[in-house]
Amino acid sequence: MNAQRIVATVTALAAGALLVGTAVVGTQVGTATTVAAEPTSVTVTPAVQPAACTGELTVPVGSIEGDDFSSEPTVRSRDLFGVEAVTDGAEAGDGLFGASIERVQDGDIAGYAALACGTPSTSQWLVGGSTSLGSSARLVLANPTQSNVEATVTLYGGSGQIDAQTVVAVGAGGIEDLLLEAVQEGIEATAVRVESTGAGVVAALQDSELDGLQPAGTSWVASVSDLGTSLVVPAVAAVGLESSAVLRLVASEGATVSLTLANGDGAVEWSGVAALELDPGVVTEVEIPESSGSAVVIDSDAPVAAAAEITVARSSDIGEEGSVAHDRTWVPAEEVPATYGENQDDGVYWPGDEGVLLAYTAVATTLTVLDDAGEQIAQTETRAGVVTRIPVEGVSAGTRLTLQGRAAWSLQIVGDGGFLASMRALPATVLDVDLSVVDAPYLP
Amino acid sequence: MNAARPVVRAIVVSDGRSDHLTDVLASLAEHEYDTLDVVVVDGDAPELPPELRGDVVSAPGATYREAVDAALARHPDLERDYLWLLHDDTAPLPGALTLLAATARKRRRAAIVGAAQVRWDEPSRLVGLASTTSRVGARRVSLVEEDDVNQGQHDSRDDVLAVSLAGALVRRDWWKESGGIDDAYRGFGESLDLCRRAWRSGYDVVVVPAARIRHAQDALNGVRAGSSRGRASSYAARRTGEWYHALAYAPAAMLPLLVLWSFLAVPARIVLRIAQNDGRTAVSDLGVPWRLLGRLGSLRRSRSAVRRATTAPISIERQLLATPREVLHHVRVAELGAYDAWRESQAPTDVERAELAVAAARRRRGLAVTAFLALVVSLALHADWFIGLARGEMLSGAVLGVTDLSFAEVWSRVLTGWDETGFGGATLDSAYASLMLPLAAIPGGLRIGAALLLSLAPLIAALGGWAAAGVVVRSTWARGAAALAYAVWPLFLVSVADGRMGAVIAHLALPWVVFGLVRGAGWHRGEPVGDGEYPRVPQASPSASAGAAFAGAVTVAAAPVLLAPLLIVVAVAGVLARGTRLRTWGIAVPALVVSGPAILAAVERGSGDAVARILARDVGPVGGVTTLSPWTLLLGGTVDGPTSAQLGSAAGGDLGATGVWLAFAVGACVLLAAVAALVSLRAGWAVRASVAVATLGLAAAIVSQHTPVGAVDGAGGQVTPGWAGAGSSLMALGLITAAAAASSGSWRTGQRSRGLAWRRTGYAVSLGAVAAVLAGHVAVASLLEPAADSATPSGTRVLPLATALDQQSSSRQRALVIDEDEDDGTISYSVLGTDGTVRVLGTAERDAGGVTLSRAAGDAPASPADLAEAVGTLAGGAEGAATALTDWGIGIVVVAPGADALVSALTQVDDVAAIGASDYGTPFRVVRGDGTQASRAWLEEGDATVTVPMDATSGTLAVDAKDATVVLAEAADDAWHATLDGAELSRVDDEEGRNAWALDGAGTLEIRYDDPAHTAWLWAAALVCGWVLLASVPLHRSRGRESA
Repeated sequence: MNAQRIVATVTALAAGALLVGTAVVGTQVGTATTVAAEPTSVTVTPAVQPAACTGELTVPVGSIEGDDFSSEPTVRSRDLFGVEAVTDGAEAGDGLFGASIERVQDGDIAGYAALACGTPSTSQWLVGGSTSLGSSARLVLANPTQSNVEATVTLYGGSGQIDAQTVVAVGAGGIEDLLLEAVQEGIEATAVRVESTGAGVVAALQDSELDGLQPAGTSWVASVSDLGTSLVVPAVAAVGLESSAVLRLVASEGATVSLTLANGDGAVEWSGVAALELDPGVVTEVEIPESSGSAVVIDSDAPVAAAAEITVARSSDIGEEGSVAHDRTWVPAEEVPATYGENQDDGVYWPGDEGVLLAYTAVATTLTVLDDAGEQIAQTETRAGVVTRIPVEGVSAGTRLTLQGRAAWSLQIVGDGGFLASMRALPATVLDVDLSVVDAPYLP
Repeated sequence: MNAARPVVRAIVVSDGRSDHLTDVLASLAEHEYDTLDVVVVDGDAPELPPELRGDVVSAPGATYREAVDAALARHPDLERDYLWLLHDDTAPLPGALTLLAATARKRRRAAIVGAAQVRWDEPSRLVGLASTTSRVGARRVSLVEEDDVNQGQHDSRDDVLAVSLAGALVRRDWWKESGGIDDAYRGFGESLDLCRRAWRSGYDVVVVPAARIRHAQDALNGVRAGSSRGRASSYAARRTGEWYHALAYAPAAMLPLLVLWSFLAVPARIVLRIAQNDGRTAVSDLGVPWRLLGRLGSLRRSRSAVRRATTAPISIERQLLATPREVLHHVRVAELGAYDAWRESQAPTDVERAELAVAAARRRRGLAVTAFLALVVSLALHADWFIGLARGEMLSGAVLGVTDLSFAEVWSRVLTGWDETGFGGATLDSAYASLMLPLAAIPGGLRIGAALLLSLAPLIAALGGWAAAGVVVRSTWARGAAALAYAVWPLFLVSVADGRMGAVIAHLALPWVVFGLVRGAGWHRGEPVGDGEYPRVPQASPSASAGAAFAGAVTVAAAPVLLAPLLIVVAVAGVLARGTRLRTWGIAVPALVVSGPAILAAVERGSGDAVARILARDVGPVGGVTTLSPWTLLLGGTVDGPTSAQLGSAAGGDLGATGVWLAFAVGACVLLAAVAALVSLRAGWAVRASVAVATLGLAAAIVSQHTPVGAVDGAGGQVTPGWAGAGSSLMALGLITAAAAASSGSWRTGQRSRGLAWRRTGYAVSLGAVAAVLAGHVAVASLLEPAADSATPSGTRVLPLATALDQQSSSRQRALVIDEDEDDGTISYSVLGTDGTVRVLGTAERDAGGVTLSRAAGDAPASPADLAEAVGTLAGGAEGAATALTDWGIGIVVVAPGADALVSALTQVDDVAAIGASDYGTPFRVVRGDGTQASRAWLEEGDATVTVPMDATSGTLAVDAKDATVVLAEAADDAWHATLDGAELSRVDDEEGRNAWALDGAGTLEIRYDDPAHTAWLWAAALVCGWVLLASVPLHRSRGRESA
């Protein structure tokens, strides 16, 4: 091996060793760490839109006049609390909720109908109504906001979702109504979904029925914001009257529900209905067995909406002797109140002497009722899983009551002679929202 | 003049500074002249050889003309006198005078009879015969090519416009009548002048090609004692003489135009000189117009001499002037024909010529095939990009950002160095952004330019690899393999797919640095012919060094981490280069100038962390990096630690795992080839140097990954490790070059040994295996789904049209885009002054505290992260966010499409008003408390607000205000200036971190961004890079034509 080859070999080895050595050293030298932008937590108190009521009851089309009867009511009264009365537009008012209580003594729409008027919502369900022969379902959309909105109305029936969606444009401060029997008639049991652009819309359904010549009751169907998996209908029987009730359910994606009847003695297994299968979009009705002072608890594996229709009877002047007229009310199912965490106060306007305040509590708790000055009206200890009647004394009609406690509330208005209406209790405070905010690039 | 024999009076004028006088006198002995006068104007009187009959005359301080007159004064005029004018470096060959005298006798009207000038040391080569000039007169066109071999091709010439007076016979009466030569020419161009005046006076000028004078051209060549060396030294005087000649012969009206033209011609000439790498002549060219001006004093006398001489119609003379076509041909031959002359001097033999022709044909075929394969690779990998581009879409991605920018936007970014991301920031330099300028100049804007660059990147890389491999090996197969291996290097393909422009451009430019460096030092391989190479000694090319310098500047602009390796390589190469040392070291100069601002900023910052961040930064689109271990980098992998499970799933057909393994296979092939090259001990120094370069590349890659890049800047940025692509490219280049160098000549060696067939089979098989691995890698890469971060074609519109228009209007509103994550409800927001997040121009580099690295360390500047509360307020549907938004010039809030909950939340807020709906989002208008529209800059006077209209970096407004504040909603930076009628306004503190000035008075308010240091560095870099770019054009300097 001459010198040249030795030099060549050595330098070649050196070059190779340098390369490998750099790699070895590199494994000792670490790499920089990634630091991403940290999300910031922001707590926000959202602004609220005005609440709106949906106007007076109207007589469904096709009125007839007769000798001793007429479709149009002659004796009717309306109490409007918390909102301004307006002839042609949304009856709006600040204060998070209002109430509209109508008592119609005669005519086709004889009966009591009450609605707790809430703030606009972008997505809501109204379970109730019918478009079969003799029934009328009038959907009323009120827009108390400053901008126009477009509401998309989807109808569900016994055979599922009706394909034709209707879009209703409601101007700022305006009110529109839509007769569901014009969309699709002949549906025995309907459920309606309203999705709206912008800040949302206030929706309510006037459900009126005629049984031949006899008025079969008028009610406002109130809306709930969303489907849920753990719901309760707070009251399925009229207090002080004989009543029957039917439960109506709908699940947009299909669900399996289990129903429980909760009365003063606790939960009662509902014979015959252990697990109810709901097909997607199919409106299903179930008879609620006799038991006064009960609430229906609904547990489901997928989101559902539900409502109970309570019917009472009374003797009727129209037609033959001994004819019977009915009055009905719809009580929508609400989320079962959470057993821990912050609880929001609810509120309701007291209708007067005819009012009956009921509460379903899932756990034993204390319920308190305050009036608009903050004075305590009533306080009751309740047991778990029962419906309790809260005595409210000495409160004039139109008083804004604040309801505190973990309960699902229902306010019934029971009229002598067989009239019935009910209202939901709506949130009386605005809850803060916690948001997580982070900066990020924006790309197509 | 009667028919008698002419009387020849020989006159030799000497200034004592030429070495050839003795030879001149010796050669005169054999000629038959009548009288000889050796006029000495300076220096010692020479000794006349004994056989020479003649006198020495002393005429100290005389010009040539005066010297001749002094000699003539001693002899009476016999009316058939001819002056034989000789210099002290012109030696007539035997028989010259006889021929001249015979012609003079025949051609009685000839006032001047000239001879052919041949080279002093090689009489068979012509130096000059006759000359003419163009119609303008500013260019002397010689009628023969210099150093042309005299084969008698000019023997038929007789009447010409001008001959050289050296060795010519001049009629004495003409000499007296014309007054002799014009002194104003100072030795260059006087022959032409005298001959033209002769034609204009009705005489002829004749040349006798058979009469030969040996002319050493001492003055021309600057070898007279005491003058600076070389032909270039007389260039300025020659050119000035030519211009002076034009001035003397032009119509009077043309004179100012000609003087002006001499000035205007200077820049073009300087450009040509730079391209020819001839700096000295460039400087001479600069001085020519001034010298011309200096001679204007004697112009009147010269012109009157011409006027006096013009007695015959000048149409005769006109026929002898050079036509424009002849001038053009002369220029081509003179300026550019030097290349042919040089090639001739290196002329190969005929056998070599044939082999070279075959090799050239094979090379062209190989290049075509390689380019074709690389084009196929480009198309296969990114067919969807081409389709999207044809449909009018742009490339965009999580790393790349959006690319739909116009030339004007890129230009303003380059010029000012202000980055608009977030609330703005000053970048270190515009080096990288100026790389995007030519891409944006393509019709269609940066969208097309960037997409074409990325799509065709494998093709361009293959061409570069071909060139770089060609300096170490000439075999077409080896070059093709090297080029393709470089083009499909796995980490490079990932850089292209992600759109990391910096790493891609560095990869494309690196091979040209190698190419230029090696060729510039003359180390490149020649074409193998016979048993050796052609050319035997490779020529070092200055243009190649200039090209390497330019490519080096581009590389460093695209990947600053490669500055240190470049400097090391250039330093070592310069030490080893003999004869081209300065030129090789000069390769680093443009790269240093381009990195100047960064180096200065690093020095000013001082802290180790900041220095590392500056010098090893990633430029261009950054982010989203997964680091690789050094072993993975060495093996060319793209993902760390492939497991045996992956090998199994690869065998089972999982494309992702197969891709990972094939990437490793490519790198392993290259590494094995380099190791084999080392072991084989062939082409020693080339291989070892290449492996050393590869080591530098690996070190650069490791340093890159160790350095944090980016900043949490409130505009979606994050801190990530640097991208190892640039260092990996250098490493790949080094390893591939090592393998290529070792393979040089391997096919031919041991041609008579027995193992030849085996060895050649082995080579072919290994080449085939490499080709298969490369092909497989490309095939799998093209079949795989693009990664989440990859660039994909998308529509050019990102925000609603109305929003984009507001951003570009004179109010230059910003847009706040908010979106909601469907999974966890996190609200993400982005403050945009452009249609989408722009990353392709690079973002302002910041330190750990958020301060831009181009400024001194200090408090964290305002950034969009400060707006998180306001965004949360808006998204929650609460009031009160409008002020925070309009304070920063945000006039539009756009809710990304699909976030319906946010739309309803914003509809509930009174601060914002919906202004429509669009497929690209729902825009909401935000106005200030007083109802005016938000804007980037405004004037606050009490409660009133007036918008200052702005374009990208400046704005003006006529104002008349008292105690007002001018507010500019950009991050506070001292380079923003506000002036009122030219007077700078004083800054006031702004609690939100914006720029604010106090204004009191009336006039024109002007807000502009002005960073003098940045501008200075930008122009310095542009000048230096422009110079080397021009110098890299392979033009050879002209070999010294008289009027080059």
